Amino acid sequence: MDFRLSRALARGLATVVTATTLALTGCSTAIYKVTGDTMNNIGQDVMLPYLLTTDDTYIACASGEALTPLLLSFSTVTTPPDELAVLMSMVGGACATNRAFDHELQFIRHSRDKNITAAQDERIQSKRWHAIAASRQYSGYQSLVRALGEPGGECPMFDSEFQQLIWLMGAGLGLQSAMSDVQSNMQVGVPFSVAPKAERAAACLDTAEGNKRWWGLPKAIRAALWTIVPGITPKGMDPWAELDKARQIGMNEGVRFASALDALVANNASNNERVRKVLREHANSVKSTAANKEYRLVDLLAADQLLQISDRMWMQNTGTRTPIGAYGTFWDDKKEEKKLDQNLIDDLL
Amino acid sequence: MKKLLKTVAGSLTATTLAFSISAEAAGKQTFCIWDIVGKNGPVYTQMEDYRLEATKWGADLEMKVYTDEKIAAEDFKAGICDAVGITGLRGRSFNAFTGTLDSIGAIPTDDHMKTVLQYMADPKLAKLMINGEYEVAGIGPAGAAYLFTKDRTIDTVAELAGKKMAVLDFDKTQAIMAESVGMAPVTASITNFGSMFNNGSVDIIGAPAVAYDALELYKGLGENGAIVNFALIQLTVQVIIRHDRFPAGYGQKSREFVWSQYDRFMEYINSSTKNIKPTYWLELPEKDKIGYMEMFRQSRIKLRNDGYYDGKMLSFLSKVRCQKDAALAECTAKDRE
Repeated sequence: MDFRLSRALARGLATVVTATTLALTGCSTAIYKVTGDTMNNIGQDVMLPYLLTTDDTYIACASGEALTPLLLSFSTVTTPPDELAVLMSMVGGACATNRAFDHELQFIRHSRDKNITAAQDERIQSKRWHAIAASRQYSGYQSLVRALGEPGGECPMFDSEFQQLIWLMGAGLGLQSAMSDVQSNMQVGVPFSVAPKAERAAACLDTAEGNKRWWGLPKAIRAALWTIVPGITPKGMDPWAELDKARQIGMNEGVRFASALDALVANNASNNERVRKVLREHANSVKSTAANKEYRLVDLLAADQLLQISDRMWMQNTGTRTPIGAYGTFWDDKKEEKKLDQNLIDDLL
Repeated sequence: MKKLLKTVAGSLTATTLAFSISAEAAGKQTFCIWDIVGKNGPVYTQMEDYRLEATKWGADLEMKVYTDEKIAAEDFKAGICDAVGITGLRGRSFNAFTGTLDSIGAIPTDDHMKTVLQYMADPKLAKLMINGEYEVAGIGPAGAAYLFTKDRTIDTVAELAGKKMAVLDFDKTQAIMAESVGMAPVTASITNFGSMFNNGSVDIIGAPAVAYDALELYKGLGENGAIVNFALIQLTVQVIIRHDRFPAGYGQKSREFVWSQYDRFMEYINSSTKNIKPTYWLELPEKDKIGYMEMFRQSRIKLRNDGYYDGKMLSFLSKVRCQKDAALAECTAKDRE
C-alpha cells in the first residue's frame, strides 16, 4: 500500500471516530439525563409507595442498601434526587443499626458469661456499625437540607404529602444520626445541634391534622426530644403525657412509630416500668389493630425497634432474646394462675 | 493366692465396667417423638425446645422421630425408648388416669382444658402421674376434635344412623360410641383416616382443627361438607417417661415446664382453627347441645363400667365442669360420675 494513501486513510478514520465519539457523548448525556429523570420519578412515584406497603423489613433493608448507589448516581447527570435520598438513607441507616444491635446482643451475652475479650470485640463491631448508621443517617439529613432547607428555622411550604413525610423522616434522621454517633464514640462527628433543630422541624406538623395524618409522629418526635435535650420543653408541657397521646394516635392509625420513640426515650431515662408498659400495649395493639396498608413498612420498622428493646431486656436478664410468642411479656411476670381448689385435690388423693 | 488376686481383680474390673456402662446409660436417654410430618413437624420442633430445657434437669435426650405413632408407643413399651411423646388417646395404656382426659365430651371448652391441665401439673398430684415404671411427664393441649361430615344436612344424631365413620384402631371407645348412635365404624389409623374421608371411604370423621390443613380435609368436605362446632373430645399430647431412667425429680420439673408452654400450644391451635373456611362451621342449637352433653355423659359412664375410662378422672372432670357452671343438670344427677 502507498504510504501517503494509508496516512490519509488513517487521518480520515481518526476524524470519523472523533466525530462519532463526540456525537455519541452528547447524545448519551441526553439519554442519561432522561434515564436519570425517569428513574427518579419511578423511584418516587412507583417504587417508594410500593416499598412502604411491603411487610418484609429485611427485604426493604437489602433493597435500600442495594438501590441507593444506583438511584443517587443519577445526581451526576440530572437534578439530585434528594427527597428520595432521605428515605433511602433512612432504610440504609436502619440496616446498619440492626447489625450494630446484633453485636450489642452478643456483647451482653458474653458479658453475662464473663467472656470479657469476646464481649469487647462485639462492642467494637457494634460501634463500627453505629458509625456506619450515623454516617448514612446524617447523609439523609443533609439531603433533606438540600431538598427543603435546614430544619429549625421557618417551616417550608409543603407541595405534597410526600414532602411532609420526608420532612418528618429527615428530621427524625437528624436525631437518629446524633444518637448513633454517640453510640459509635463520635466517630462521625455529627453536630448535636441537629437534635433541637429536629424538634423545631417536627413542630411544623404538630397540629391536630398533622398528627392524625402522620400517626402522632410530629408530637412524638417533639416530646421525645423534650426528654433528651435540656431546656427545650415548652412551659406547662409534660413530655410523657404528650407521648401517651402520640402513642394512642399511632395505635389508632395502625402506624405505631410513636410507641417505638416512647420506648426508646423511656429506656434512655431508665424508666423500666414505662418501657414494659409500652411494649405490652404495643403487643396487644398489634393483635387487635392491623397495620395501615399504605404505610405498613413504617409500622413494621417500629415493631422491629420495639422487639430490639425487648430483646435487650430479655438478654440482660435471661441470656436469650425474647422467646417466640413472648413479646409483650417479661421473664419475671407473675403467671395469672387460678388458685387450685384444695378440696378437688384432696378428693383425688 | 495369685489366683485369688486375679479373680478379685477380674471381678473388680467387670464391676467397674458395668458401673461405667450403667452411668452412661443413665446419662443419655432416647426420646421418641411421634410427629406425623417428621422432623419438620410442629410437635418435633417444640420438643427441640423441650430437649434444651431438659438438660437443666440433668437429662441428655437423644431425639428420634416417628411418623407412625403406633411404632413409637411399641418401642417405648419394649424399652427401646426411655421417653415418648404421643397422643393422650394412645397414652391411655400407660396411665389410665391421664389417658381419660381424652374422654368423650368430658372437657367442653378450652377454658375447662386450661383449668384441668393446671391441676395435672401441680406437685400435689404427682403420685397420680406415676403408674408402675411409667410416669406422665407433661401434658399439652392438642385442641378439640370435631365431627367432620361430608353432608351438612346431617345435624341430628338420628340422621347419623347408617353412616360410615372412621374410628382409630387402637381406641376401642370410638367404635363403641359410633355403634351406639347407629353408625358403621370403619377401622382406620391416624395415618390414613384423613385420606379415607377425602376419598369417600367414610362419611364422617372426628378430627382436630390442626388436621384440616395438614391432612387437606377440605378436599373431603367439598361443597356440601361441614364441621360441627361442638367439641367431641379435647385431645392432648403427652410426654411419658420410664422414670427409673431419669434423674430424681425430673418428672415434676418436666410437667411444670410443659404446663408453662400452654399458651404456645394454644396459639398454634388457634391459628389452625382460624385457617378453616368459616362457612364450614355448623352451629348446633343450644337445646340440642344439652341433649348431646347428657348422651356423652351416659356413654362415659358405660365406658367406665366397661373398664375403658378411669373413674377417678371422670369424677374430677365432672367436678371441674360443675365448678364452672353449677346449673348443669349433671351436677345434681343421681348417677353423677
